[in-house]
Parts: sequence; C-alpha cells; structure tokens
Amino acid sequence: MAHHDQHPLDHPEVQASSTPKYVFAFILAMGVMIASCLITVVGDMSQLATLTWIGVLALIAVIGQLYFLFKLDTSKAMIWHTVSAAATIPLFFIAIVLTIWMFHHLEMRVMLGAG
Amino acid sequence: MFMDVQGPSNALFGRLPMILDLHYNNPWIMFAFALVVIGGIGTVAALTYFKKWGWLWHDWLTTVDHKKIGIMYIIVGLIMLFRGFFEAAMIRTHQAMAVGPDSPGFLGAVHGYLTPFHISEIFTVHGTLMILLAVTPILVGFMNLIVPIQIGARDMAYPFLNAVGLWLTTAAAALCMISLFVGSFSHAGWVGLTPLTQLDHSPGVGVDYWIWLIQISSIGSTLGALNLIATILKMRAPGMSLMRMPIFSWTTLATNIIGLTSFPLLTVALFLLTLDRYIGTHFFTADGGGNFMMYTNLFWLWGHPEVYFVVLPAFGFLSEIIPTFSEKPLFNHTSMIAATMGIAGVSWLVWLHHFFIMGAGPEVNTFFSVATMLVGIPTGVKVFNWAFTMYKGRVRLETPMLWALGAVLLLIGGGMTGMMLAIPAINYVSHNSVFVVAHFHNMFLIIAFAIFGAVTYWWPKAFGFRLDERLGHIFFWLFWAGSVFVFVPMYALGFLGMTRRLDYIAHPSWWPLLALEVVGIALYIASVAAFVLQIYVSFRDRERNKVTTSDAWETSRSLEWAAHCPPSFYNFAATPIVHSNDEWAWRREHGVTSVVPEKYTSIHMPKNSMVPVVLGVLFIIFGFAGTWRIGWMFFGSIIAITAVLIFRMFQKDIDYNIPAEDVEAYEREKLKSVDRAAQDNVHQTGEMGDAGTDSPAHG
Repeated sequence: MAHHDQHPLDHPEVQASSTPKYVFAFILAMGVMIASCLITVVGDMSQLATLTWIGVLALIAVIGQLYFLFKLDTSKAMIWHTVSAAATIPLFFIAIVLTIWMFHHLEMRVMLGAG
Repeated sequence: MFMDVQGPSNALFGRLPMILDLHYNNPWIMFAFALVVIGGIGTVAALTYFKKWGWLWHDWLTTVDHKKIGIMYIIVGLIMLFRGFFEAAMIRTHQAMAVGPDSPGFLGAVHGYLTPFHISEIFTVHGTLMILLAVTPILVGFMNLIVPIQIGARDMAYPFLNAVGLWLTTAAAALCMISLFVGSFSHAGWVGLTPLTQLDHSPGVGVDYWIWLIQISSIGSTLGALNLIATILKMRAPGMSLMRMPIFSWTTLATNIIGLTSFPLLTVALFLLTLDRYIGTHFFTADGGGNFMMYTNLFWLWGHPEVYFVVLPAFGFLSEIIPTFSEKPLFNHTSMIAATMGIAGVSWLVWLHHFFIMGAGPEVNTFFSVATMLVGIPTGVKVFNWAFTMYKGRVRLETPMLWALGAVLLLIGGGMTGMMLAIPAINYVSHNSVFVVAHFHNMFLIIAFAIFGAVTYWWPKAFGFRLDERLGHIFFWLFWAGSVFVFVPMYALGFLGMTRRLDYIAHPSWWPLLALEVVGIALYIASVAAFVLQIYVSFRDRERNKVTTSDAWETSRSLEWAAHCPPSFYNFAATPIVHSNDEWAWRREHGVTSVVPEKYTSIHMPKNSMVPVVLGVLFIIFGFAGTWRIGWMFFGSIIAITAVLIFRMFQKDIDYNIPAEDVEAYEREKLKSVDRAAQDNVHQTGEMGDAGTDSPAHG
C-alpha cells in the first residue's frame, strides 16, 4: 500500500497549485468556448472553415487546460502524468480519425441526402 | 426539462406507482423471488445462529485486504454466473420447445413458455451480467487476490479505492437482482440496440436499469484499473524488473491499460443515451437529427477492447498453470510479454468488425478486416509458446491442467471461426446468425475454462487446502461435454441460417440440433452440481486436503508460492528480493526456500473502513432513483455520496504499524500450525529445522 507519512500539502502536485494560473485557465476556457459558440451561431463561414476553427479552438482549450489547470510539464513530479496524457494521444487519433473516416464513407454510401 | 414518460408518476415516488400496474403472476419470477427470499432468510438465520455477524462485518465487509476483496469479487461473480447460467438454460429449453406452428404454448406464451418480451429481457440480462457482472468481477477478483502477492507487494497501491471498486460492482449486481422483482429489465440486447433503447421504443424502466447498473460497474472497473496499474508499476518488490514480472501480472497490466482507456468511452456513450432518454436530446435518435449508428460505433469502441479486457487475464492464467504442470519454465517469457502487449495494442483497431454490414464500404472494411486478422499473430505466438512449454515437459494432468488444455483447444476453434468472421464477405452472410453467437461463446468458454482452472490452481493459496481432485475431473469432463453439445450444433445452426435472439423457430428441421443443445444444457447442469459438490466435499475434508507448504503443487514457479497458504494478512513477513521471473522455481533450485526472514521489521498496513460499504449502499439508491426517476432521492444520493467522500478525506486514523516483534510472533504461530514433518521436508526454516534444499515430489 502507499505510504501516508507525507503531509498532503507537501506533495509537489499540490504545491504546484496557483490561483493566477487557475483563473487564467478558466478565462481561457470560457473565451474559446464563447468564440466557438459565436462561430457556430453567427459565423458565416463554409462548413470546412467552421469545423477547422472549432478544431483549432478545441486544441487551444485542451492544451491550455492541460498546462494551466493540470500543470502537466516535464518536471520530476509531473512527468509521469504528462507521459500518461501523451500516451492517450494515439488512442484519441485512432478513435476520432477512424470514426470520421468510417462515417465519411458511410455517408457517401448509405446516407445520401441526409445532409 | 425532463421527458414526459408513459404511465403513472409523481414527484415523491417517481415512476414507482407503475409497479402497481405490472403483473406479478409470472411463475418464473415468483420462483426466482422465492429462491432469493429463502436463500436470504437462510443466510441471515445462519449468521445469527452461529453469531457470525461481527465476523462478517469486521473480517469481510469492511476489509481493505486485497485478498479478501479478491475473494468477494469472485463470490459475487460466481453468484452472477449461476444466475446467467439459469437464463441460458431457459433460452435453450424455450427455443427447443417453440419450434413450428404446432408447438404448444405454456404460461401465456403462444409457443414455448416464454413470451417474446420476456425472452428478450432474458437474453439481454444474460449477456449484460455474464460479461460485466460475472466474468469481469471474477477476473478482477483474481487480479486482486494474486497480483500483489505475485509482485511482492503488501497490498494494492490504494486499498481503500480497491474496496470502493468492489462495492460499486456489488451495487451494480444488486441493481440487477432488484430489476428481477421490481419493474423489468431491458429488452434491447446487452449491446443496447439503438433506436430500440430510446424512450419511444422502450418506455419502461428496463433500459434505465441497464444504463445505471452498467454506469456504476464501469466506474468501479475504471477505479480498479487505475489501482492495478499503479500497484504493478510502483509497488513491485526489489529485483522484480518489468521483464522479470510473471505473465499473469503482465496480462493484468495490459488488461487494465485497456480498461482505463476504454471504459470511459462506454460511460460517455451511455451518458449521451441517458440524456436522450431523460431530457430529450437527439444524440442517437433515429429522427430529430440523431445518429444511432454513432451509438453502435461508440459502444464497440469500448466493446472490442473489452473483449481483450476479459480474454487477456485468462491467457495469464494459462501461462501460470501450464508451466507448473509441465514442470518446465514458460517457453520464451519475453515473446509472451510482447504478444500480450501486442494484443492490447491491436485491440483498439478492430472494433468496426462488429458492424461490417453497416455499409462503410470496401476500403473501411478491408482496413478493419486486416487489423482483426493481425490479432491472430500474437495470439498464435501464445498458443505456440504454451505448446512448446509442454513439449518434452513432464505433463501432469491434474485438474487445473485439464482446464488449461481445454482452454487452449477451445482457443483454436474460437480463433479459427474468429478469422472467418474477420472476413467481411463471410460476415455479410453470417452477421446476426447464431454462428456469431457460437463463436463468441466459444471465446468466452476459453475464459470460463481458464477461470475454473485458476480457481482450482490458486484455491490452496487462498484457503490452505486443495479442492477434491476426483470431483474436479468429473466437473471438467461434464462441462467439456456440455460445451460440445451446446455449441457445435449452434455453429451448424448458424450456417443453416438461424438468426440470434429468436423467440419462435419457424424451421422444424432445426429441431434435432436444438434438442442436442438441450442435452448440452443438461450436461452443464450436471457439471454445476459436480462443482458445488466439489466445493462441499473439499470443505468437509479440508483437514485431509490441507496444504502444508507454501507451494501447493510442488512445481509452482512464481513468487506468490513463496507466501504461506493462505498468506498472512501482510503477505510476506519481509519484503522479498526477486532474482528471476520464476522466483519460486529459482529459490527451489538454489535451496533458499525458507519463509523465515533474517530480520523482522515493522509492517505498515491500512485500516478497515466502513465507508466503501456505505458508498455501495448509496450507489444502489442512486441507481434505483435514477431508474425510477425519483428526483429528490437521486440528487439526495449524489449529495450523500459527496458528503461521505469528504468525510473520508478528513479521516486521519486510516493506517497502522505492526511492530516487528508482533510479526515475528505471528509468523512463529503460523509455522507451528503447519505440519512439522512437511516443514522439515520442504521449508527448512533455520529456527525450526536444518537449512536444506527443497525437493519437489515430481522434480
């Protein structure tokens, strides 16, 4: 079992907490969410441009949250968390990209006229 | 905001008034209810009569000991396995009766004895509980029971979280049992066929039971996966590098990486379905902008990795059993590790073969077909490694080995039919036929065989005495015969064109094969009786079958066999130093089999906690309230769960130290209780005998 002889506040992950970074992460998340909402609701862009912009904003949100909220970096305390997060990237691509590829073909073949 | 639902409903009781409209005149449900009530009353009476409530509470229900948690996982899984088996017997017997227009009907059914809705419920609950509440808990139970000892750890990395995982699984199992008597269960298949799971098509509470129990058990599985990964990566004994780790621990690591990355997908898919059913979103609806094919996609994105989540630990069992009873090291430990991780890696790339016929076209189907066939390579490596382990070995056909050999033979059949189904052209013909059902049952039988092998193999480690060998053989052969009689005809019926989930068989010429399947079920029933008898007889004769050494089979190889049978609650008196991937075999060969350490030190252990049990009860209330849409109870249970977790965070008195002298006294007592003659022969203890080399009886 894990040792409990360390005070919780002494943990490096806990000590890395920072109010300005949390506030910034929150503002960043709100900002990109509002921007993506505006692009979707009032934007007058092509479908491809809309999806691209939403994708870019989502990426900014994810990276911003990983760094400012979860403090993922290459320090000794956080490297394990960072590597774990990085290890999910291939799975993320497998799940999302192959799904998009499958639905692209599916739409062409069986959902013509569905929009 | 919330969807209007059919039938009576109010703010205080949610949809519960609906149960007044339900019919409770179904003799099958009454029979099951009577069985549960009698069983429950019997258990309560026995606990009271023998004054065992305190023992049950302190030693078991509130424990955070990984071994006891593992045993409880396995007990929950076996109970669910028996219920799932009952349902299988009902499906088989009903189908054999409901053949042709002249077949008689009983108990309200036009043909056979189960109405179409009832048989739909039965095959749905059969699939759901067999996979998620029987096989998964049993496998997780073995991981809990064995892995920490096998890697030389004191306990899991997070003992408290471990207990929470158990009680979440138990809460899901309890909801499944409640659904048998209060309301109904889903009729939409264990996969949740959309749009059948939508509120329009399934207005009852069955789908909701299905959703909430899976959600609760998935949280438990995710927590368990986190815990096992952390335990394996961070808590191995000194000297146990990853490449020295036994294969079962490797398969556990691979399994839980799969679990950790795939279970959240199921949680999300079911959450979106919940939003569809509760607040009227259109994620998976057939109209209104939804895409029900996306549900299928998301479900199998979890579903296929889940297949390897359950099969890899079974491969781990085989990799432990076969070397022990071949009296040889496992052939090519390194390639076995590579094959395990290879299967885990490819597991993420094959999910689309579950819906080749959806119409994605040749490019997509070819990609997933090739990816699926790739799984055959690492699996083939494993089969050859097991075969080469047995080659020129001194193979002993004791019960665990029989189960292991049966599993390997089944793997050849299941693997070959799997290769067939990986070809889209064949899939277009056989999709949704019982050929597919026979294939995946063939694969699950590998797991069942491996599980029964593991039960027999590690039973002496867990309880200190062996299971009866003669009844074990009878159990094996009856189970093997039952498997052949049920699933060979099922393969044939699949080729003849029989589709799955039928409540009526329109083709009378299929009857002989269906009747053969019933013969198989009769053999299965006899095998279950043999198993129960085996457990009873073994308990009765436990003194005679007592294991007097740490190595119950005398040719075991991995580290868990260096701990007592059963292990002390702290596993090892001193943290072991590991020299080889077959540590116990290494110690035997080098004459260092003493279980008495040079020096005793104090041991740091976690304290029992009632919080996991309380959380389990609260999660039952949470799931029940969610199912019946009782808002105040639902949100109240969330608040209560949060409050209990906060309470736990502020608990300081959660661990303790066992002083070195107490450990020494305990160990002395333990060794005294072991037969002295056996100690003299096998455990040369330094203090209680002369140092010497262990000489296995068959070695």
